[in-house]
Amino acid sequence: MRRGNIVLPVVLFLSLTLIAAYVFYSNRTREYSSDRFLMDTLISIKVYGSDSEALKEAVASAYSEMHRIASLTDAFPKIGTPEYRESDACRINQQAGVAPVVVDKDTFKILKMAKHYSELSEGAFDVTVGPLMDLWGFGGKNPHIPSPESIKSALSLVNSRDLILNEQERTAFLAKRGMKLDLGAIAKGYATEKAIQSLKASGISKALIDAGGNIRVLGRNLHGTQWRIGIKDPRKQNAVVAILQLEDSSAVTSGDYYRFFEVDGKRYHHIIDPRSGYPAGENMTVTTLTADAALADVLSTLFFVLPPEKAVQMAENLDGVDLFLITDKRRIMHTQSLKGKIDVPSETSYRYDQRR
Amino acid sequence: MSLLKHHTDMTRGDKYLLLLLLSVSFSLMFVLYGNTTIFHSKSRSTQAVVTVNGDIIRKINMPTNSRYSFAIEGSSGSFRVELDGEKIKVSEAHCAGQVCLNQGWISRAGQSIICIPEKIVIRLEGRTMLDAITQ
Repeated sequence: MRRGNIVLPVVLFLSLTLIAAYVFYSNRTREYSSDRFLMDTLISIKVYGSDSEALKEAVASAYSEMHRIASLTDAFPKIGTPEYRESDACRINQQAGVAPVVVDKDTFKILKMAKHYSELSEGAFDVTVGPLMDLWGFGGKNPHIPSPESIKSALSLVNSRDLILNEQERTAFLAKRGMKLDLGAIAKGYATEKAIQSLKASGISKALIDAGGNIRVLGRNLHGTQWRIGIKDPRKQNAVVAILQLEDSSAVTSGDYYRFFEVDGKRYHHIIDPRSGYPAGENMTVTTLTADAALADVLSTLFFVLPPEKAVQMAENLDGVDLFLITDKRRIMHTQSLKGKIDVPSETSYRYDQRR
Repeated sequence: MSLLKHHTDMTRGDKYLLLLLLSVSFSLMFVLYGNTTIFHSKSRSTQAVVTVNGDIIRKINMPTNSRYSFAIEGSSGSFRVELDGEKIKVSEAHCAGQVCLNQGWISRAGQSIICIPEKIVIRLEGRTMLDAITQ
C-alpha cells in the first residue's frame, strides 16, 4: 500500500466531520429572553429556537401586541394626552351616561368575555368596579378604608348589566354617568394570550411568558420536559406551596399578599368584591389553570371572590379548567383532575387532605 | 502465532473504517451535547443582577462574604439594596406602594424583586429548580 494514498481519505473524513460539526453547532438551540415594564408590572418573555435573529424578532412582535392591548385598555391616561386618545377604556369611561363608543375588535372581545363571566358569577366578577377601586386607592400613596356611605354610593355605579355592548356596531356604552371600567383583572391575561399567539405565528414552539406572575407556556421547555411552575406560598417569603408541570397552558394567581395594607391587625387587600364593596374574604391565594391566558386571568379573580367550595365546584363544571386554592383558614383545596398532577410537599404547613 | 500476525496488519479498508467511525463519533458529540453545557456559557454560581430601566448597573457574585448595602438614586429618592451571604433585599425605598420592601429577602436563583415606579429589577440568576413562579 502506498503511503500517499492515506492522505486524501483522511482529509476527506476530517472535512466531513468538521462540516457536520459546524452544521450541528449552528443549529443548536438557543435561548433568548427579554423584559419590559408594561401594564404596571414586569413582563418577561423567554423563547427557544435555533435562529437568534428570528427569536429576537418574534419576541419584539409579541411585545408590540402586548403594547397594543395595553394602550387600548389603560384607563389611567390623563385627558388630552396621546395615550388617552388611543385608549378605548378612557373613551368609554369619558362617555359614560352620554353615548356608545366604537371600539377596537380586541377591546370588544375583552368586554364581551368580561360581561359573560360577570353574569355567570352573578356579579362576583365585574369590570365596572372602577369607582370602587378609585375609592380604596390601591396603587396610590394612600390606600385607606373608605366610609360606608362612600362605598354604598360607589356600589350604585357598579353593575355589568349597565355595560351595553352592540356587536353590529362594535360599540360599548356605560349607561350611567360616573360609571367606570377597570380592566385590570383581564387585560394582562388577554395581552399575554395575544403575545403567545404572536410567538406561534412567528414559528416559535417553546416559550414562557411571565407577566407579573401570570404564567403562559407554549410547548415544552429546552430539554423536552414540561415547564416546572411553582405556586408562591402566600405567607412565607422565598417559598412555594406547590409545583405544577405545564405545557401549552396558563397559570394565573390571585392573592391577598401582594397589594394590601393593614389597619388594627386586619388585612385589606386589593381584590374587592364588587357586590359588597369590601375586599373578598375567604381565600389567601387562588391559582387558575387553563389554556387561554385571558380566561385564566378572569377566573382567577372570579374564583378568589367566591367562597372556596363554590369556586372549586364552578371550576369542576368548566371544561379544561383547574383550580388550586388555599383558604384563609389555611386549607388547601383543588379540582379533582389535579390529583396526582400537583406536587405539594409532605412537610407543607397548610392543611392538605390528599384523599379528596 | 499466525493470529497475531493478522492482527497487526491493517488493510486499507480497515483504515477507512476506523477513520469513518472516528468521524461519526466526533460528530455525534456535537449532536448529543450541542444543546447543553458545551455551548452554553452559563456559570454554575448565582449572580445578583441589578437593572434600572433595562440597563445593568451592578452584578454581584453570590454568596457575598459579608453583609453590606449600596444605594441607587431613583426619581422618588434613595433606594437601598442590602446583601448578606446568599440573601439580597431592598432595605429602603420611597416609591408609592412600597411593594419591593414587602418582598423581603430573596435567596434563590430565578427570584426577583421589582420596583415598578422606579423600573428597578433585582434578579438572582443561575441554575434554577423552577422555570417560573405564579403569584
